[in-house]
Amino acid sequence: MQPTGLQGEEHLSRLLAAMHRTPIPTSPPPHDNYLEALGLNLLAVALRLEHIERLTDTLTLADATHMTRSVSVDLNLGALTPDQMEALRSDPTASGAPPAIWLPVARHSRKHMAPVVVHNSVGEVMPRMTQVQTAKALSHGLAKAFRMYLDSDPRVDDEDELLHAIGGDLNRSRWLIEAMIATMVSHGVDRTPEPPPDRSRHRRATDSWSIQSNAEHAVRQLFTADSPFLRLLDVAASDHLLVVEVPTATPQVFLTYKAPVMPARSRRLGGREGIPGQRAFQHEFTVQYRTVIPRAVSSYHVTLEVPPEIHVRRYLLSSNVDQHAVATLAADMRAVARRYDDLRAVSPKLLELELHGIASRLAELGRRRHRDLRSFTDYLDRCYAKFSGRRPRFLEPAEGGTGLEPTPRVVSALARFAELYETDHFRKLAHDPEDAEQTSDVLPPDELNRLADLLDESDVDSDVCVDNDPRDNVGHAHWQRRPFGTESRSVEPVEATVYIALTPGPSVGSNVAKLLLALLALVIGFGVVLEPHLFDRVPLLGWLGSAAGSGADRGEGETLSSADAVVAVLLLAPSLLLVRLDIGPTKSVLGQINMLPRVVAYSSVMVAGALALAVASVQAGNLQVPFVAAISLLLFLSLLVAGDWLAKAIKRRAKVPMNTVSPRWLIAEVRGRPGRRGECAVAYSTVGADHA
Amino acid sequence: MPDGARSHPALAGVAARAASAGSPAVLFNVVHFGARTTTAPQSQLTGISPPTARDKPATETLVVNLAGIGFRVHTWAPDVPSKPEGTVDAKWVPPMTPVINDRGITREVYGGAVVTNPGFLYDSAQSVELLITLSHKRWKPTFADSLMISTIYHQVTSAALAGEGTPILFLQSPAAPFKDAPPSVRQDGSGENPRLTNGMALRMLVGLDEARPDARLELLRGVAAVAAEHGLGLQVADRRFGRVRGEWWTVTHPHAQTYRLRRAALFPWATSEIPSSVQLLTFVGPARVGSSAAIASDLVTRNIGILAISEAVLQETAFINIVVPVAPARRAEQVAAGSCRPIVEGLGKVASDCGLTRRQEVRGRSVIGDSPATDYRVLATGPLTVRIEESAKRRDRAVWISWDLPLPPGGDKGRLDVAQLVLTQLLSSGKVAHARVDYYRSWVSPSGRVHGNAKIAVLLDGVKDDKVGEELSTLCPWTQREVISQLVRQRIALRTIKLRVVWRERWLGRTNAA
Repeated sequence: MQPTGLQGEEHLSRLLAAMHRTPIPTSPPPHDNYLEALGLNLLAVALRLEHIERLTDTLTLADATHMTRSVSVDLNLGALTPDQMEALRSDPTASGAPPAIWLPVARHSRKHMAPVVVHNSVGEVMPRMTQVQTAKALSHGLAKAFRMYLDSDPRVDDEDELLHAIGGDLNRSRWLIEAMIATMVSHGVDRTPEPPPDRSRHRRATDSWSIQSNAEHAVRQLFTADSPFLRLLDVAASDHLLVVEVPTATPQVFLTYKAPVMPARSRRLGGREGIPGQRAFQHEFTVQYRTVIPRAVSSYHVTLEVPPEIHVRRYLLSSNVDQHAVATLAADMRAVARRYDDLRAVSPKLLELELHGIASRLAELGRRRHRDLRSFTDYLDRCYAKFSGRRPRFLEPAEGGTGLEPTPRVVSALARFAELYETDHFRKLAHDPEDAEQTSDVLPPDELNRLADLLDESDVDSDVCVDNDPRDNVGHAHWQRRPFGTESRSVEPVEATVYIALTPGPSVGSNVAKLLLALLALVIGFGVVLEPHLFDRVPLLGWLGSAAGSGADRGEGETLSSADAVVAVLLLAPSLLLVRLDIGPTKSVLGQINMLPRVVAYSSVMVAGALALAVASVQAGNLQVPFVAAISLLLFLSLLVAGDWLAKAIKRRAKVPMNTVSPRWLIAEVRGRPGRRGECAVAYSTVGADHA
Repeated sequence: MPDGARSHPALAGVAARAASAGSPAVLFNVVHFGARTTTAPQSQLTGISPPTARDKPATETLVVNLAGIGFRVHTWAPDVPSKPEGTVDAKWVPPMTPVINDRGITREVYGGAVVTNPGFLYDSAQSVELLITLSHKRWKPTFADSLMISTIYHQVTSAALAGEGTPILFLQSPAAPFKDAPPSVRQDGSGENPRLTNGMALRMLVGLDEARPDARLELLRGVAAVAAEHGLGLQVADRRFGRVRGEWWTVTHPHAQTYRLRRAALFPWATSEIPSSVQLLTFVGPARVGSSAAIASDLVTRNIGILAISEAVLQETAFINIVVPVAPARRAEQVAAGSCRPIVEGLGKVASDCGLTRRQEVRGRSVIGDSPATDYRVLATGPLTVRIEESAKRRDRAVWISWDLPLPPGGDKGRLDVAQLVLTQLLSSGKVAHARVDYYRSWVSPSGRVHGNAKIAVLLDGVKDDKVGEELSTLCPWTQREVISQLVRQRIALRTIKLRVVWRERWLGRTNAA
């Protein structure tokens, strides 16, 4: 994230760039009280989204590279005050309590707009406000906010100030500022603004240059670089609000809408769609889904349902809900470390207060992440119970210590620290000359800096929610809002990422193995019958061969007389078995997962076919080479299948997914040391490419 | 300025409320009340309807009552869209009903409108609260003490302004001082001593940005330096996870000798007489960072003392209420009157009445005209009689109440004042000799509920000092139950009533300024 000052400068330059695209008005812009109140209230409600109680995402994988999602929203109109409902009413001319109000339900980036249809709980379609109407209301509202800023500034009363003139006689400059706010809201944000044209030649007061220059100076005086008004304007210009007309008869409203189909993105292909080639022979198909949850939402569910042939092996949701609290804690630690001796010189009690504030928050953080760790280990227990009687073994918690020693297992250390802190083990945290017991600092400046760095690196601001659906082909995670103490009402949404690992059900793999085994038996059987001396040294088969071979009809210099029958069997049997195999089309998820079985199945059928060709065309006595070749190829394919089976068994027992979705603290806790994290095969994201 | 990246939703909320109301201004009423002579009875005024608009409740109300004088401030949004000329429009309101039975009580009403400042977006959840104690004894300031309070106010507001420019959201003096209880009372940490309701202490809430911890540390350093210089005690609100308001962390204890020496060194010419005649001042204007520092610096420059001060931000409008002692030389001259002037002129007039030195001895020129407080108005009433000696004779204890009730429709007569109900109940218990509301703050939310908190001064009859805690522990729950049952009898549903009457402030469980 850029520092605020730099972002503020960008907002200001974008606003001024909009000014140069706006024609200078010659008459006052229309003011509409209803639209002003509507626009500001829509913006205020859309930023906080406090009326949304529950958000449910249902994901469906249409094929390997496309995903659809259906969103359900539970609204509570009781969170709105009567004034807000009155301002948001959809019929401005009627009187009395509003029967229906415009309510923002979601905020999307304007780059990814597509028509959505919103339904209510009985399936009726709910009307939506068009983009043009929303932009009009927002520009009226923001122009009103600009006038509020102008009116309340003390420089307006001073006749020497420019702002006094802007508020008074220089009407066209003031109208220009309002018009450029409207332009910016309706046309969106220009990410790379062109430099303003050079017009320094003209100087007269009625000239457009002088009007624009006055407007520019007034804007710079009223809004400093970090002014919240510029940020608000940026949000209104770059986001698209989904505004729905909601009846006010009942306070609880349920809405659903289908979001447009999302294509998969893969960084390895440089942003193109599709799947990288080298992942074709993977043992599981990993999917990553990123989205944002409005911070005021209490409960978020994300469900993935796949056809019954596919199993959801691992399903994990990780969100950065505590990011603000952890960032504040790290900043506090560094600030106290910088001024450690200074504070102690002013008063040791002041230093003690600061250190206790830090320690208590660190303890709370440790407790939270430990809770997440316990739920993860329980989840792994459940996963293991599906295929094995043994329980997964985890690293034992470290015995003793204060929790402040450097260790890769951050969460266990913090949990130990929390336990000790709550039981008053750390009564005093700083050295007090008057206290004989406390002779050293528990948290000296280097320790504080080390802990701050550790908090930043180990992703302890990310929590983990696990799958709690007992079915094999459905994954469901439930995220609940747990505020970190009395945190300030920040509005930045929570980023949530879901990691999904899909494997084929056991049926396909075993069917391919059966196919291979059947073919191997068939080929060996024919080999025993037709070329018994190949198997002289093999114990059972040699005896069978000599027993059967005595009655064979061998004609020299001709193909086998029963070649037709052999060919027929060699071609029909595998085809019948292949038809019964359900591998799935190549582009589907099932097809992607079953790449190796598909290759093995087709290769074995090809081998059988080649053998049939050889039997049909080669002379009777020279069939050793084809049979040896066929048997060795089939044995090689069996080795591949066995290897695949072994790899799947190992993967099944992997405790923590080594993926960028898993927070680093989780990997360090389960494996005992940090490891390199890989990317998922496909990634879907509802967040724009340059999420602001 | 708060971090723009986090405060734009607050701006949207403020602007939306103003747009829904149809007007960017708020109307206000300020009432100064007091006695002209010492024999007049104590006046007691609470209630949430403004005097100039009795048919509706004020959105925010503040009442301060002290030693026979007091302030009452109401703000509300106008029904009809209006905008004042300039940023502040204030005038003195002549009495609406003729005063027939003049019992020596003066009540001056001022009204007007102030434009909302949309740039003042401080979240009181991100703040630090400080308690600065001059002495743990009862409130009994002399002229010299009043000048010390002026100086301390000036230094503390400058410390808040220096560096990152943090605003003062709330400031109150005298406040209830806090002393850490000895281990025999504290036991497992739950025990506390009952607090005196008014001591020589100053309590302030400074708004901060969590993203800049250096500003907070700088502020604490500055204030600790002021405390060390003057021998004052400093307590900071406990910042540990899960703590509420009313839990204090002691940084330094007051040192009486240092304070006395410092007072003698700074103001050797000031008398140690207790003032009997005061002027009530209210500075009103849009809330801005630095306005209290500007006013404080001006008062110090003109050697005007401060006996009591109550500063609050109501609906983004700042009200700084100050009680200044009238100079002994000019005591008997005037009749009590109210006036309303722009700040430069107003402070000049106040200085001529209350400046404790001659004009030639003031310490510097006033620069209030160039400060953030330049468009404020001064509402002045005086001279009034203040009964400091009388109030200092009693050991009043502090009892805190907080309530959250639905607002019944109707005018002021039909409306129940919870603070009055609690007072009446306490007085009827037979153990309380005297009770009065010292501080009262309430908010009416748009969904038709009123919530507020108040501090009540209670004098227990014939109870020994070490038994006061036990006595209060039975009195407070009993009062709470009785008042709730009275409210239920008035047909307010029990499930909608939230009321707490406690003598330990942290039992109210408030986590921010609301």
